[in-house]
Amino acid sequence: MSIKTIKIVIAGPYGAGKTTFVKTLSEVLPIETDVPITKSVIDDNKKSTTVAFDYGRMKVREDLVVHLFGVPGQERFSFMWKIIARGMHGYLFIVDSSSEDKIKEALGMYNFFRENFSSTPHVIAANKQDAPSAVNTSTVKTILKAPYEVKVMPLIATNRRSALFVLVALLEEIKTYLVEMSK
Amino acid sequence: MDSDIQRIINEIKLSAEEIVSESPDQIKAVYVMDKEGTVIAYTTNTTLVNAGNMFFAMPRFISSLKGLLTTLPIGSIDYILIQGAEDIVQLIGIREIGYLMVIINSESSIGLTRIILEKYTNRLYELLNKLAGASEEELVEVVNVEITPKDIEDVISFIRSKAML
Repeated sequence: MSIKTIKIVIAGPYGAGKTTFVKTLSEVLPIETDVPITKSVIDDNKKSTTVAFDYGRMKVREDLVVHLFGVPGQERFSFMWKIIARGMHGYLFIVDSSSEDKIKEALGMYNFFRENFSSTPHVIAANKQDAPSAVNTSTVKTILKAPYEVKVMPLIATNRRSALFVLVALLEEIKTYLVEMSK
Repeated sequence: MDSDIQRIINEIKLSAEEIVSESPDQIKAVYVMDKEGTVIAYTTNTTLVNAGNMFFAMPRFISSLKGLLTTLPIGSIDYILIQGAEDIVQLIGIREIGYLMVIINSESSIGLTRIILEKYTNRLYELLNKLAGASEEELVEVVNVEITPKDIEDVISFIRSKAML
């Protein structure tokens, strides 16, 4: 039996809330974390991948697994972003929206993903919306110069419902993209 | 992060810092990129610039240059000089494995800077080679059986059932 793997990347600068987001999801969803992917768990006709950036995996069916990959937020690892993101079906770009300065810090990384993965479906999550000075989603979109069609979702990464909505929004985007591609 | 990779990145970063120290009154920033223009390490001369605004996503820049070069019969990127209104960009190819780029503030140091760049290309070539080797060993691509919209729909339903959204 061949196992299908859906690869989702969680991107965003250092301190944006990527780890918190996955941790919150794992409280409600059966996400296994800290389990390395090894060659033994995937098909012979597939290649293996690293363990170092694997945030978790979720088994949906016997033959369908979702992998969540995290990328290190620090710019000095930017060359790794491309390697980790290779073959992904979609990515969630999380920004700390507690201030405009924090969002501006994310611009370089966002541009990097836009440039390298221009046709990959993605959603921007404006995290820390519970902060008193939180910036609204339309301002986040403007600062990041995100295209019109890209969704910017409010997020409180510590809140389960909020995290789930964002994940589902990304999956909807991926589905729409696949439908378009199959036409 | 794999410790080998981390160590190599640190060495590349150190080389970039050494380049700045060769001409600290004129070199504003140094970038070391892979062959596609991904910045592997960069350093800024904080006495000359505000470090916060000096990180760029370079792949488009490099692919634009490559696009330009394909229209000119001069081969791969060996050395490029771009003069802006305030600063000057000097970019040198590190054989087929990457690029070294500096931003300088004075026309008078173009020649000297080029000599500095050439001095570091061998060392950076070796480091980038090691990095490419370590990365390939550590990271291999996940290649998927084709995913269908129905698969994604199943994931969404699964999440909704588990989380009762």
